[in-house]
Amino acid sequence: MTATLEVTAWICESCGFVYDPADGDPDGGIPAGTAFAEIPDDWFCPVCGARKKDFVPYSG
Amino acid sequence: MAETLEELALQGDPGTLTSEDRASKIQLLNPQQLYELWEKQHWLAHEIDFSVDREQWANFSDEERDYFTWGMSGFFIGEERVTTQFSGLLMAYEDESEEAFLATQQVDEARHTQFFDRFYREVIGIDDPKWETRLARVREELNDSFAELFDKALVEANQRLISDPSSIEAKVDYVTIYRMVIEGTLALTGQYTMTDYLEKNELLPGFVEGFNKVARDEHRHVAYGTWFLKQKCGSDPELGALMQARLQELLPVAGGVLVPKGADPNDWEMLGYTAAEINEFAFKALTRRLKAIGVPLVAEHAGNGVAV
Repeated sequence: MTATLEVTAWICESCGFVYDPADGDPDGGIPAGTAFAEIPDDWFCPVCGARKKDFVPYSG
Repeated sequence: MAETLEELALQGDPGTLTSEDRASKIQLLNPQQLYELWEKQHWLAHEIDFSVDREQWANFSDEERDYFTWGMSGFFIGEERVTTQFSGLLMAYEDESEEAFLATQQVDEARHTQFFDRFYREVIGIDDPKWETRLARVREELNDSFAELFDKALVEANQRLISDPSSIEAKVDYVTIYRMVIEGTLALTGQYTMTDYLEKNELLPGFVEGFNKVARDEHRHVAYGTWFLKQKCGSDPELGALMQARLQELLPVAGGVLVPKGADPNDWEMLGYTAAEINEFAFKALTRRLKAIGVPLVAEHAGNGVAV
């Protein structure tokens, strides 16, 4: 269960940007390999500015 | 260290050069997809419950009341402005899907205007029966930078589009002003700061509920702007240069809009948020999006973060 959560991608509900833990978000200070749950709460979507709480799990 | 939005803009964002490849791989929703998303995210401005907000507003400190009266005024008047200065973009649609989505944007802005009007009438107490009088009173909170951006730059860009809806240059200019500066820099910054304070202090639950829905709509609008500018400017140096020039011109103005009423433009702090923090957030919000578009803020860098 924990392993599944760590590799789950998350999608921004406002614009469709997909956060993939394998890529992280280096420009936003998030190294590759960072699980979504470990991202700071003040991180925001690089495309539209939505907050972390506006993302939901993405099944692809 | 740069603190004003103007200083940050002049420095540009050196990170762009190392991240262009990754940024170019970002998949953006197209107008059809954004239209379908709009249908799923419908909400009613007249169903937000302000009963708790009325009670809490009466007990706000003077500092809180001053900050939110000023902060909300920018949104109220700004929403009214973009609602009325939108027809040029709608006329400039390039296919039916884009036309459909653009129509939803104007509806959104009208809904936002209604939401803020309700809050001003029912909570703050500016309830003159005439719209014109209410808007005029709220405008008293706003400065010359606001007028320059919303009454001059936006209005003139809209008129150019109305005059020639087929002009891609006019459309790029309008979308840059509206989506990148007004919504993508100013609105996102104000939303982030105000929502952060209100949620942490458990204040104005009705306003927060509606404001979060306003923000979600704005994110959808910004997503369209990002898609459009990537399509047009990402691989066209001339259109990219047009976009850069407009951003360099208006970011100092946007910095002025962020200054609270009566504050020293070079040194202010409101409710614990410093000018440096606010300007850094605004700058980061914009530059991260420019990476997704593929157009840096400053035309070239010498490898040390300085524009050449």
